[in-house]
Amino acid sequence: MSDAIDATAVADAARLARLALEPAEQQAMAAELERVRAWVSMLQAVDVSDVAPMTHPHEGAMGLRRDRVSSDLTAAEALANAPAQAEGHFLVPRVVG
Amino acid sequence: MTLIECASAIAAGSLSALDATNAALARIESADVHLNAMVHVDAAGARAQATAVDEAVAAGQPIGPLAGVPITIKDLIAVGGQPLTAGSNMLAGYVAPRDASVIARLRAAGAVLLGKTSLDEFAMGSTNETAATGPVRNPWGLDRVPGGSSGGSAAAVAAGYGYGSLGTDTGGSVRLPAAFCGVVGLKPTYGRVSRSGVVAYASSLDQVGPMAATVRDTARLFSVIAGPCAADATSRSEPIGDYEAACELPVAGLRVGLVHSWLAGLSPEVHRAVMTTYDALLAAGATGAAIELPHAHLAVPAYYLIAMSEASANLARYDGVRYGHRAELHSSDTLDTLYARSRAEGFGPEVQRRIVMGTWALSSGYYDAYYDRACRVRRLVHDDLQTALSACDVILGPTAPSAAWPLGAHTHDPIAAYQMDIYTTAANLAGLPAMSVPVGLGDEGLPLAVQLIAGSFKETTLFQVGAAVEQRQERLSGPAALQAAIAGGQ
Repeated sequence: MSDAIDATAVADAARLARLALEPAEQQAMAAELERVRAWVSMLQAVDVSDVAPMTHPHEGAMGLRRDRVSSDLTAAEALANAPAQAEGHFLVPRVVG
Repeated sequence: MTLIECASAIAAGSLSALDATNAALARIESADVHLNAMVHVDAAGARAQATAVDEAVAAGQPIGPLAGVPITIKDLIAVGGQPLTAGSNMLAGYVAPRDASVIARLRAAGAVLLGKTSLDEFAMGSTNETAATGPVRNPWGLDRVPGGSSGGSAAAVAAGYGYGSLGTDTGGSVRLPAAFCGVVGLKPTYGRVSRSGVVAYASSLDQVGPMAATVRDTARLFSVIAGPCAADATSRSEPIGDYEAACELPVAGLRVGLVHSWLAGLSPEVHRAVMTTYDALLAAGATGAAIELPHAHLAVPAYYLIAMSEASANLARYDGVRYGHRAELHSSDTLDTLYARSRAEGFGPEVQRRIVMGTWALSSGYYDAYYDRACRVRRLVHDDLQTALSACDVILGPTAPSAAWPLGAHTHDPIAAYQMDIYTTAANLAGLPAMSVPVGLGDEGLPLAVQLIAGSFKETTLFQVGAAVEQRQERLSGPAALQAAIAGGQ
């Protein structure tokens, strides 16, 4: 499989990311992202086979708080920024038949 | 007047907090038509906070270390009841329901919150040109970028919109604009400052950091915001240092490391600034150490892959349903098509690029070769810095390869813009604290800066060395370009 980012690769990623891109936008973005991909490919030259991935600066040290219900945000406050709401609920397009 | 002088004068009753706040608001009124640094000004709220401080002072009540001091906040940080846009049309109209933890700490310390500063959209940029409200201009040269992504905060401090600001730094977003605008900026150790209530960009890298005109002022702000927070699982409980006292400590005996490979790509004036600073620290009794960071040149591509990947996950929350921009509903819409159109309309081009690139790098078939490899290179960069910091107490280098560049210089070449973060991203990858300190003006009258990097939770060393660097400089006067624009009414 080639790694090159083309319009099809952009369309696939955009679908996964829920971004509606027109075909012309996919083409333009593919050209831009292929340049980024070619640039970051300098990482391929490094031998990292014996190096463990580092995903976080303080590995294994995450603190957890107690799993307790709090009243940080009321339903009315949560709904206050909703673009569409009714009767205490967020409104979405119909999702069942 | 510095932030600390302002706080002292208010505490002593020789300056009213309301007068200090009105002066800052008047400055915003006259200067921001030229800079475009503010996205929201809360004049009434600021005056009410200032009046409450004046009443407390008059009544002899105890007041906090920032009582009455007007400051600004990057619009990536929630201030309860105020708009929070993250520089994006996606969050146009959003009002934050709660204060971020750092804002609660500032309020408890008595700070007066003037309003919110502009930023690159979702903090994704090094120039403040991707802000939905348009570019911010550098007070030292109105045709120049202020740096980003906390460009509004840096410009606000340089222009005298109060005495300090909070920014955020994911790959240099406090330090680079601080350098370009001639102010001090600190990226704290990962976990030192709470991120609860801060819009997430790349969660293994993001930190909130203070910006102010002087190192001591920055120490005062940092002392207030540093510390553990139950609402942020990544926050840590290591002891807090006495950062203001650290500014008074001599540097004699400290080991200052110079990264020779970092001197190669600098403009002559930045090169000169780094070497002059190094010589000055040695003259003050520090000892020099030549250090190497063999993988430093890989920090920027590793950083961008990691940041874009984490961003693609973090920004999945903007769905146009619970909050944020929502596309007009068509009768044929499904939930998926509504998400996709809302996100395409709400996010700007650079944010969309990073989401798609991050999604691609995390997707099946590419994960190992891109995201996972970047995480392995991250460890190499981290290990290089740890080795270097066993041979020295602080690493001295540039913050940026040059002084601020013209607006639009890198608009059509994202990779060239990404590479401006060449000296800042390593500290984020390793989670280390780093500070940008101004070191005078260059040939074109634009600020120059150096960067200091220390070991984990050793911010005291940064304040100690930063204050020594600052002491050897003439303090920058107000930015002449902005003054001329105000005087000319341009």
